[in-house]
Amino acid sequence: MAKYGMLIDETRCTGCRGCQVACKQWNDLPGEETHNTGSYTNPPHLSAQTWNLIEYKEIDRGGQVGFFFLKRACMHCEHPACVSVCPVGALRKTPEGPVVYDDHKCIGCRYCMAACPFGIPKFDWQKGLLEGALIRKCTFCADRLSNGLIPACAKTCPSKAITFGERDQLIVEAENRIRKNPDKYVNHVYGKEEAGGTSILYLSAVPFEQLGLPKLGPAPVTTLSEQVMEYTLPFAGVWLATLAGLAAVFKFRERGAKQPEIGPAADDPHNKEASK
Amino acid sequence: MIKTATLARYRVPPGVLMLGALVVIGVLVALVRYLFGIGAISNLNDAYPWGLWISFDLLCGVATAAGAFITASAVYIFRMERFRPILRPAILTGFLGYLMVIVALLVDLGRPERIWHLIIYWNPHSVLFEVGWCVMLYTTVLALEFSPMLFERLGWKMPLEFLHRITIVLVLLGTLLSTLHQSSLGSMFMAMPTKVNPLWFSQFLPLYFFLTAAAVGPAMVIVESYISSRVFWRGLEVDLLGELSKAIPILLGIYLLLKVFDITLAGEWGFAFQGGMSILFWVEILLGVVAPIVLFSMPSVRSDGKRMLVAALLVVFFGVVLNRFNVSLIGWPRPANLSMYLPNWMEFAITIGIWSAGIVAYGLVAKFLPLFAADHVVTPAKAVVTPEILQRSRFLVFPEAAWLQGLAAIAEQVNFDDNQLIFRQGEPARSLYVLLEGSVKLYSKDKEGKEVHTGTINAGEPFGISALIEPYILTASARTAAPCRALKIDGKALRDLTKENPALGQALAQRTAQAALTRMHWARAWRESM
Ligand code: SF4
Ligand code: SF4
Repeated sequence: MAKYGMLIDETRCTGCRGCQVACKQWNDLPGEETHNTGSYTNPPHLSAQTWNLIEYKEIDRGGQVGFFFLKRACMHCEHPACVSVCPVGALRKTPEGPVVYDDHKCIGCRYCMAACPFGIPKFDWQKGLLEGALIRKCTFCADRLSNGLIPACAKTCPSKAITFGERDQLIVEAENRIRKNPDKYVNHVYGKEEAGGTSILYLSAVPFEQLGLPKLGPAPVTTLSEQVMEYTLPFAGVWLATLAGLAAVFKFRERGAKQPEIGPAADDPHNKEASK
Repeated sequence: MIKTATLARYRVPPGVLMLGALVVIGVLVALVRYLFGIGAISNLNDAYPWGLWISFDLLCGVATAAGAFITASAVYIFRMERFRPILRPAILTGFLGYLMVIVALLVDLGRPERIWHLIIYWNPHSVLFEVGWCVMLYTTVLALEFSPMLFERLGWKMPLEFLHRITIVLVLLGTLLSTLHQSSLGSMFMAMPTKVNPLWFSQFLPLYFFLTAAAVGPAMVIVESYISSRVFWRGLEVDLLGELSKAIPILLGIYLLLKVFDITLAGEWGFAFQGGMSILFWVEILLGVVAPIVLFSMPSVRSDGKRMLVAALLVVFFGVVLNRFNVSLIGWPRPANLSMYLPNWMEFAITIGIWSAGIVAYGLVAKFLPLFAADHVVTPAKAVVTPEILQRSRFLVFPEAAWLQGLAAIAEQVNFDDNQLIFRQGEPARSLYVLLEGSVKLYSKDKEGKEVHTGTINAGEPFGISALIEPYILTASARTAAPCRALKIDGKALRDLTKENPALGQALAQRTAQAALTRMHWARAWRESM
């Protein structure tokens, strides 16, 4: 089965927000009432209503300040932290690439939000029991993919900044672009290896940290916690046996305990006073 | 029957009314949350998905409930019978603590009505999956460990006997589950290497959480015993607590060494001298770890209730509460263009409401159930008095296990308030008493019929010895000079026992004679000094 991905070439992005709107349209997401925050990024953050956001960065490059863009949405990690930590398995990595969420399983613990190194999952903070709060994030248009359509954002992008395709081929394509235009790009395909690799890949003209993407090693962030979980059962077995053994030893020792001497001891107050 | 009668006489003190009001406020705020969402009552947001409730109610709540498994394993696994008097309060605190954690989670979870999904949907990679299961199972274990108090009160023998038989299984399970999830609360944060501050992030996080929880367990028992000794007018088990607290420097010492080793190995000492978080780091280490290690190593601290309280509070607040906040909240990087999260008043109202409910529940249990060892008056004697308890008095130390069992079978524990008349001179001597705790004064009428103080009974000594001496008439009255706990042995049963077992009778008679002689000496000395 093909494993899909998207290559986002930020040097081609014009900041038109077409993808942001297309995402809202396809997923039936309401607009957000916003106010001026002093930045063109609008709304200011991803949220339960905004799953795909163009962030505007004014970056100083050797005396010249320029606008750079970051299309921020779920990375659809190869080893997703959100999937690893969800206690009820509400999040799932599909073989085609999307990391999808089951509305009916989630208990709303928000561990996925805390664990995602990209800060992607968002929560319905204003929904009570009746409306039923959920975690919301980009779905990689899994519903479109399964019907042979490409994601709405990729379909819309007028400047061809978003390329949909098989992840392996996209990596080749991205490295080709860098090779052909080494001056235009930072020599790095973000997402090829970050946190175990992601389905979404980025190319950029400025260092990725300046764009606002975190610096991450090649190991999935949940490596340690998954290891601990693997050791848990064996540890529990050994520990229970140890405790039971200790209990048996102490019980045995008590049975054969040395008997206290007969009669009140020397420090018995009665004794002392009586012998006065 | 007794219960309704006691209830009717029970007047609600103003402190309880205030706590009740705080509970009501909490419930109202929770109602707003259920109607309009978590955002309506908290400053939690997409950048700070976890706040006060996770850092305090969950992490600190579970850690401070560790006293239950520490005490239970001391008594049942390591057979340290002497800790039994503090076992029930520790188990109650643990049980209530976990219930409080669950209530807090029912507010904090986005979909509280689905909490049972933890049972049917499994993700064995998730640390929270393990925490969820452990909390569910351990709360059940604690409920079972707590339930004998209820059954004793109701006088239901069947479940009592059953629970008595499975106690060791419960304690083993409880200790296992506690070890697992105390540590896994730390493992939860190992999934966030980019968020937890490097001074706190470590592959030893589970061990750190376990060690600090194991240390705060005894510390909480100290705090709680101190408070309840004030509120319920009972003695403070200073010797027991002092003994229990010996574990604290050991646990915290291992923790400290490991931490120093770990930070050195990772080459992260640079982070400890940068201001900001590093200041909190030093506050935590010096006040919450080093100071308690020093204090609890000093016998002068371990033998003084107040000093132990201070040292214990250091462990609780700086060693654990501050630590959990540093790991789970304060140490996290602040997201760009967002201010630091601070809980708003309604978040506090939830937390305070839950704690108030917990305190009220503790008070109710203390009032109506046999919580403190001395309250076991209503219990069938067999279930309560063990040979170990008898041997806490020199008067009843015998090498023959059979003698002890015979005595234990007819003994019961009783408690008395301060200045309470236990028996009156001239009455038939129905029971022999052995004082376990507190102090009792004896009075006899002189020639003019005036009551004079003729002796003082200290812990470990027998009184009411007329029950062993013909014609079994009390020669003095006894009145408590402090809240007391005593063993009460039915005189008739005792005489029957000694008939069957003359050797025991002889030994007892000898000790009784000795005690009587002492008292005569005492009385004469007292008269002569007048
Ligand atoms: S970016 Fe975050 S939410 Fe998306 S798959 Fe990765 S861990 Fe999950
Ligand atoms: S909030 Fe929902 S999706 Fe996220 S980790 Fe918790 S249960 Fe899973």
